[in-house]
Amino acid sequence: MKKKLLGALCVSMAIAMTVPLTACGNKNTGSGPWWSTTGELNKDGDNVVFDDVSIRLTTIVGGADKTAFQLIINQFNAEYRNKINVNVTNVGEGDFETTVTRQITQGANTAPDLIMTHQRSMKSFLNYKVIQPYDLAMEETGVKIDLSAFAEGVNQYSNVGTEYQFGVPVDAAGMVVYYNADLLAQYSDKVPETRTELMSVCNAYKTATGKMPISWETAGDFFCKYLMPTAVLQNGGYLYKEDLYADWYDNQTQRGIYKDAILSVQEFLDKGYAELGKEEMSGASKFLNNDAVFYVSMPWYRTDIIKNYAKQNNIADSEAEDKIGGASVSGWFAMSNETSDNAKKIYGDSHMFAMTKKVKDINQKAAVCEFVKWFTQKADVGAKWAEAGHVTLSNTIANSDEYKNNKCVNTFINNWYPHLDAFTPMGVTPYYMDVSKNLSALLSEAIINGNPESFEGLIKAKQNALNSQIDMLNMS
Amino acid sequence: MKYFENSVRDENLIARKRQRAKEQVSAYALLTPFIIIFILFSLVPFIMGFVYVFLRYDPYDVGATQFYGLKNFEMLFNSDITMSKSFWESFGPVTVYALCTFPIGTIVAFVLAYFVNMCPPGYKFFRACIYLPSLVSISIAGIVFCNIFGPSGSGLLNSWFGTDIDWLGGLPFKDDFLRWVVILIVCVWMGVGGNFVIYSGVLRDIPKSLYEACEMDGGGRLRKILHVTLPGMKSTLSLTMFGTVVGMLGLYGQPYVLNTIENKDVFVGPMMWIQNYLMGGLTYAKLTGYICAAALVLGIISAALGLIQRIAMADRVHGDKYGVAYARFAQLKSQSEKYKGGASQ
Repeated sequence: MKKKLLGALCVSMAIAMTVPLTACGNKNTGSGPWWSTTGELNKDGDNVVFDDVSIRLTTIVGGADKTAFQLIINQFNAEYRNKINVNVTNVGEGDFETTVTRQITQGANTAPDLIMTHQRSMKSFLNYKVIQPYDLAMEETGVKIDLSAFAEGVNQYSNVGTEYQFGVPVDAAGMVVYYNADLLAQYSDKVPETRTELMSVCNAYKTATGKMPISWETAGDFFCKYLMPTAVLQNGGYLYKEDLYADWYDNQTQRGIYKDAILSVQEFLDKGYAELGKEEMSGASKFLNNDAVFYVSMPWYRTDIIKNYAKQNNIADSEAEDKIGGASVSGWFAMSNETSDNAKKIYGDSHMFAMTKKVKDINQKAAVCEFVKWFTQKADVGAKWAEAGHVTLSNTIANSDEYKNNKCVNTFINNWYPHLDAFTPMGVTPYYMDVSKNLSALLSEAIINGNPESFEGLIKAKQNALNSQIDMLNMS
Repeated sequence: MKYFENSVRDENLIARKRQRAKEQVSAYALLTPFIIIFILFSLVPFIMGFVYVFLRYDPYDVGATQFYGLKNFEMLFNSDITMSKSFWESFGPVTVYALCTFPIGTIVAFVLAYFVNMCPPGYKFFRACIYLPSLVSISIAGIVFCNIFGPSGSGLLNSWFGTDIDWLGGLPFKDDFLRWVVILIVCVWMGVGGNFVIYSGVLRDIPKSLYEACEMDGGGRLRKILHVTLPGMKSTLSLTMFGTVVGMLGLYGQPYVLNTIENKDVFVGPMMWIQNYLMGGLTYAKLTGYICAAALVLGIISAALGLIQRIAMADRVHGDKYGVAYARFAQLKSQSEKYKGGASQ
């Protein structure tokens, strides 16, 4: 028996040791292009003919938006019946990068042809050479769109710091503001657009009622991830340098900006306009019970908020829609230069389409380009996606009458993001997780500590922690 | 006659051998699925992890694998590296927590098992109730306990008593004592069922004659527990305590779900650190070997703690007559079982 056990152990060891070592030498980091094109394009005159081409699309979109996304895909499949068929798979945010990369590098049948990913993951996908230039595919197939006609703030990162354009911006989502129209009308004749105007409304409401005018859901992941970067950007700062390291403390100007960013949030808390430690439920219930003028949350909760407001106040959904409005956090955290371009910035996540290196056949490349064109240029598609909480980044859609006349776009989307070009994602750092975590920790530690004299020390500590982490990643 | 006897004996021997071979085949057939799963999903990954610690290994770019020797360990033990420093710092809170609280998990399970074993009315219902929380997933438990201990406005306790206690906030070794109390409550609530079932089984195995002997010697309930029950459960207690300590060192789910904006990204245990970086996406993929080295070190520390605890609880001659009697009883019982087994063959 002992011998048998020993044998099993030896076999296991052999398997275990072989797996990591077998692929040695198959390095996928060659200097030449890792993409290629095969086949001949089916054309009828100038038009590409699609003969039942199948596309595998893996998207990071999940949760409540998944259904809306699938309905849009169903519409595409119906319109392109017997020509192009898109099969959608959803992979959660936590596993998206690794799952997609594993599938593509291992040549799995389930590997996607097209991915809909967060902009911040693009650098990692490029580092692992799993995506291919979209502009080249467009040139080869002749299925073109104007790649410059997208919101500048996000589109500047579509090339991921290279000479090619790898991504096509789709949409954006950041912190948004819902306001109680009746309450706001009592204290202001307009929706506040600058910090001064906002503070004035908050002061009037607080003085009159003694209640907190702003309700926000601080326990949520998105709040932590979006708040501090938004405050930094609005005060004129940046999240990292060109070499991807942080100089939040070492650079005197940035140090001042980061302090201002913290102070801009702290002022809301100190004056009793908002508070920390609010779960999603308690944050929402204050707003739904008409106890707060503003509710800072995420765009995809729009339908739920309207429905629950109607239920809570015994009114019809259509009536609730008129009582709740959309406003922007643009300008909320700018301590000075309230009308500057920086003050308009909103930090958030953006979805991008990227073609994977798996696609080699030119007809399949053309089908992918056709689908991306359809999704990013058709006004009704943009409007449907906006209703799920995602503002389009395509200027073609944004400028179309059909999109502009959509009720949801009119009431919420355009008010949430009044300066679309100023919407800013993480950019081209692969260290986005550490940037985000250190910024979030900096803000929470600083405002809980509360003493402005300690802010510089905290900024220095978080900057050094981030840089040390980058050093570690570069070292290995 | 003798030839006839010999041939009958040979036939019996062959038949017995055949029977044993048959039994062995069916035993292996039954064991095979488990062995395959164990080898593929436990043994092989364990050995792979052991191999990775000596490599610069990226699961998504295996071609770039390099032999690193002990470099991963060098980096892990280098306190100038913030990431390594945070790994060692993460041991602090969880070790203090484990040392202070591991007896609680054992005592609560023992007390419950002891009383349920007395078969009070409705004991079957209580038994089910005590075990049920073990089946609840940590995410669900997190939601439930977050609602109970949440801040004012959403927390049940704060709402009931009109207080504003920050149960889940604070930073390690500063002001997060209450958070650890909540974590302990969740750990005991979820983990006591497993130990409870084991203790219930063992309590039933302790011979009544020893209790009677103790009673005849004038022993009360406390003496019975101290001199009969506990010595009878010693090896089981040792095993479950080891499991509890290792489980607490590997604490991950509870702090992951019970937190606030202030401490959600603070590592309060090495397993949180390992999990965080293993799930770090493509950016951290090339640190797989380094993270495996950290996991191996955690495993070695857990094993060392287990060893210390086993040595501390090893059998010693202590002149406890009931303990000695129980040991003798157990020895006789096992001998008699062996004898019975031999006779039946």
